Amino acid sequence: MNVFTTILKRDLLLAIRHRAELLNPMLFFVLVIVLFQLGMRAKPAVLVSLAPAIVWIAALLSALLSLDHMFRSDMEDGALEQMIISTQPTSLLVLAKILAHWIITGLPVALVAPILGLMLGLSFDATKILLLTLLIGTPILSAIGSIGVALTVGLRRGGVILSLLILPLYVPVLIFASQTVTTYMAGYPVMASLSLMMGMLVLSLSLAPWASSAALRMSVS
Amino acid sequence: MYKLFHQLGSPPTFYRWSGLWLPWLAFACFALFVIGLYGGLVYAPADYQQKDSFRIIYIHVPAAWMSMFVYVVMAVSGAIALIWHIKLSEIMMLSSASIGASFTFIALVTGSIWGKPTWGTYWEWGDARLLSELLLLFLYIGIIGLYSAIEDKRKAAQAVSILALVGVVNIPIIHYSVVFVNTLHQGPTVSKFDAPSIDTRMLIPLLIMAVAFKLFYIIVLLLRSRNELLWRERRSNWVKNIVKVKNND
Amino acid sequence: MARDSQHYSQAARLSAENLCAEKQDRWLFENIAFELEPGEMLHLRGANGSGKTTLLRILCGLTTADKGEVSWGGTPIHQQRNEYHTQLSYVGHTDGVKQDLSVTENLKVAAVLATGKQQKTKNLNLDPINLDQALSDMGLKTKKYTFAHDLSAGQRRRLALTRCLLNETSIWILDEPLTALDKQGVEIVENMINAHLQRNGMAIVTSHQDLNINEDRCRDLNLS
Repeated sequence: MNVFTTILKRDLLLAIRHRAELLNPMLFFVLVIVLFQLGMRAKPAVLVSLAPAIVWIAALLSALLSLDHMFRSDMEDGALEQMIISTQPTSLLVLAKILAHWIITGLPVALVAPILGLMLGLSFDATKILLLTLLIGTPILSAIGSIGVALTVGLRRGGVILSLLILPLYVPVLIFASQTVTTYMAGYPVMASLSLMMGMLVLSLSLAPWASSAALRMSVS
Repeated sequence: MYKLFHQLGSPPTFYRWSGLWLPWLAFACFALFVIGLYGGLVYAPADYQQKDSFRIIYIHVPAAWMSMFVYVVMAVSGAIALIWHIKLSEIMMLSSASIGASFTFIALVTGSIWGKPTWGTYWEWGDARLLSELLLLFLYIGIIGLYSAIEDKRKAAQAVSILALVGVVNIPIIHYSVVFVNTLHQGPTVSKFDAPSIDTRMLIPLLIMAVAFKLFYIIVLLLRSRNELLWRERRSNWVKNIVKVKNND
Repeated sequence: MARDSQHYSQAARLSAENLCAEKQDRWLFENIAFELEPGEMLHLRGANGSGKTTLLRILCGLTTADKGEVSWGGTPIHQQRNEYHTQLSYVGHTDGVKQDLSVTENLKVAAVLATGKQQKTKNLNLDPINLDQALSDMGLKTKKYTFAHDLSAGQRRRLALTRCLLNETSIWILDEPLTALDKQGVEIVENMINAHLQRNGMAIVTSHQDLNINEDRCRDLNLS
């Protein structure tokens, strides 16, 4: 576990020392949502029905935008090589990096989302459910995303191909999360779909590190 | 078992063996296509609701089945390539990608053409199967794109194996989530395959077509694999011998 | 050095058999073979692009050879990855140093990666005596709390090499360790390698410059 906390602390420390970059994913998230409304000029009633999807698509895009950071700098300065030849299981290191990535990008997005939810006209209770889906869902984005980044980190221009690889895999999260909020707004119980999302979280956190570490070994070799 | 695996996996053996089988497979495939198409287009009675437009299922359904099947084949051979480092398995996986993508594309296009008379629209967002197929197509394109983006082809093959495995875990989840959203909001969709009972005279040609498609896949897979194998092993003696024999002819 | 008297307990012979690596349709190198006993250094030489770095990465287990095998103590390294990596320090042509961490923080992370346990001291995960000793050996004593981005290129190189000292590994694989080092820095590295060999360690080094290493212990391998 020491390795896990060390890598986690290291990544958080590095993020704090780049404070400007720290805010980027969140600002991007807010901006996308604002642009949506500016582009649509939707009536309040319509806007409310679209709100869950808009928020979630913005969260998806901001996760995608920040993913490349997860391994890129470690690849460039050789830190990744050192991790792979370390005596520690690479998947554990990857899990620490996934968690760090989530704390740096997913968590701020989730925390700012309620304000935007209210601005989009969601009720207070619906906003709570929205926050809940984001708290469960954004770590899944980091976990699945880590696989894509690990596969493409060796490429000079991995950005476009990364989104092609990752976005289809994000579909279930998008669907479940935004449907959960919509269902709630329609007055149906949402416990079942929230538990399904929890299941997806557990599944992705337990499988993604394996796939990512295999992919990292490939990228570094 | 492992020994047999390895022997079949050795490039010269595979090349000789596949060369012997190809003409027979091609003949069987052609025959089945002729029988299946005749059965489907002429012998099978017209549907009482959809009239003759239903006959597109003789292309659409086998293609859709194959699109999933090929992906699973890719994932399995990718796993074999990753674990046992069997070159042939790697080649099979890589050769499958664009075949699978083509099947998926055919399934999508025929599905949407069929949608026009059935639903009155070429694209129906409510149909979970169509959406799953579309996402499957993106998964295939991702695999092809990743393979061509990585310059070192040995690494590219590993990357694709990993991605195929990740994808195969995700396909059921994607499919289920698409079904989930549709049942939730639009009520049960008009599913094309849940017809209570299909006339045997309609079913038999469909099964024949399914086998024909499978054979077609195997043939194209073998042809592509043989090509790739020759290219990869172009410096080895057995390939040089083949080239020599061909030149003397 | 303080550790001169100690010998590595787990030193064992490192051997390579018939290593081949391919690069874009041609052999980068073919049939590389050597045996390295504890206490010996292998100096890899060869022109640019002759595959030195690739060979080093194969020896680390970072990448696999297209043919051939690397064995350590008679067992192929891919069958004992963990045991092998506990004994291995690698300094590649990138330093593996995080620019935004201080010297100590960098070494802390490296130590945890190498051993997996944090030694019990308040702020450092490292034995502070060892750390001070290693830093002064490498001429970085005054830089203990400096950010790596404030170091010069040569100092960063030395920081990367400090990892080898701290982790007390018996196999050092160094890719052009003398890059960016001044005369004094080169001397430090030579001393460090000599002491390592005396302790029964092994080193595999690529370098365009000649290294002043005890001749009985140094062997050359040319990649042409």
